[in-house]
Amino acid sequence: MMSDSKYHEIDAVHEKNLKGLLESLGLLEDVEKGRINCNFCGKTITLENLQCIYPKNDEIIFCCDDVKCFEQALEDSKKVKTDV
Amino acid sequence: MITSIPWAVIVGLLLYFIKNPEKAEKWYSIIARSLSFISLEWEKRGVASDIQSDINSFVKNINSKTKHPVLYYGVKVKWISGTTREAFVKKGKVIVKMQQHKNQAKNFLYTVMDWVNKSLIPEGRHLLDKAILRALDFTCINKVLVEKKRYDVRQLFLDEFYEREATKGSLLEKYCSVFDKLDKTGLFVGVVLPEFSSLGKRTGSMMLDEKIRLETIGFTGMLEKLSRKLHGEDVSPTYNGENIKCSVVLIAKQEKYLLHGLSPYLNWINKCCADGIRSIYVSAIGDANISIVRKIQDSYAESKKISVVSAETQPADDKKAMVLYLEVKNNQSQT
Repeated sequence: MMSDSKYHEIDAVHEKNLKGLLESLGLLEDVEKGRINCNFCGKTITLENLQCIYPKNDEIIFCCDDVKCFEQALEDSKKVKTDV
Repeated sequence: MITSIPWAVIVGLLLYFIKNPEKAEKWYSIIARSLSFISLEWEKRGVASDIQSDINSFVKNINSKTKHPVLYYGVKVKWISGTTREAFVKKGKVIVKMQQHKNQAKNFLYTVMDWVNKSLIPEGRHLLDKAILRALDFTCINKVLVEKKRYDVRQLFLDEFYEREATKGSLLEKYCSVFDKLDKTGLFVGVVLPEFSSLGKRTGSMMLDEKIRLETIGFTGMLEKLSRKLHGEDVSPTYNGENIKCSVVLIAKQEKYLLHGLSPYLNWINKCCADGIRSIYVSAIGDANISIVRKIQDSYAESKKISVVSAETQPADDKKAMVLYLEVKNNQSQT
C-alpha cells in the first residue's frame, strides 16, 4: 500500500462547482462576459472550455481544453514553483 | 457450519481489500457512479475513485516488477469547490476541471498526463534527451490505458497526442516503436525504466548535462538495434558509457545451450563484470528459453560478485517472457 506522501495530489473542481470556485476567486463575471483568454492559444475562455487555472506572479492564468494548451499549462505551472 | 461460511467469506474479502486497497477502490467507484444520481458528492467520489484505482493499481503492478520504484507516485484527486484568491496564489497549484463521469475519458487523459509528468523518473527527467523522454511518457501512458482497458481514452490519446506528434519518420515515432517492441518482451519495464531511473539517482545532477543526454541517446540506440535484431544477426547488447553501464543477454537459441550448456552465457556475464558493467539483464521468450534463464539465475544464487535483483515473467503475445536482472556488486560505485 502506498503511503500518503506517495501520491501526487491533483486539485480538481467538478464542472458543477466551477461557477462557485470562480465566484470565490472573484473571476466569474470576467469569464461569463468573455473577458478572459487562454494564456496559450488566445481563445476566449468560457465555463465550457475552461480546463485549468493556476496562479503565476500574483496573476491567475487560464487555460482552455485544448490538450496542447493543457500540457503547456502543466509545464508552465512547474516553473512557477521554481520562480518563487 | 452454515453460518460460519458467510463470515469466512466476509473476513476473506476484508483481508483481500486491506491487502489490495486499489481493488476496493475500484468497487467503490462502481458503487459511487451508480449512486451519482443521488448527489454531487457521490458523483465526485465516482469520478475520483475510478481514476485513482486504475492509476494506483498500475503503479503498484509496475513497481512490483522492479527493485526500486520507477513510478514514484500514485494519484489522489482533491476536490476544490471554493477558495480565496490569496490562498490560491499562496498554494501555487493547478486546479483542473473535471467533467461528469459520463465524460470520464477526458478526465482520465488529463489526469494521466499530469501524473506521468510527476511520477515517471522524476529524478532523471531533466537528464534525458527530450525525444526519448517524450517517448517514455507516451509508452507509459499507452501502457496504462491498454492494461486498464481504457480504450476510449486511448483513442483520445492517439488522436490528440500521438498522431499529432509522432509523425512518420520522426525521432519520436522511432523511439516509441523501440519502446513498444521492448515492452512486448518485458524489457521496457525490466530494463529501460530502471536504467533511466537509476541515472538520476546515481548522478544526482540537477543541471542539464550534454554528456549524459548523449549517453541516453547511445543507450536507446543500442536497444533499438537489439529490438530489431534478426535471428542470427550479430548486434552488441552492451552499452558501456560513463553513467550507463549495462548489458542485455538475449537467450534465443536452444541449440546453443544444448551444445555448450550455460558456459557461453556465464562467460559473457563474467566478461561484463571485468568490463565494469553494472547491470546485466538476461531476457528470454518461451518456456524452453526461460528454463535456461532460471538455470543462470540459480548459478548466481550464492555469488559474492553478482546479486540477483529480480526475476520477472510477463505474457508476451501467446507466450511468456522473462527478464532476470543481475547486479555486479563491485562495479556499482564506479563511474
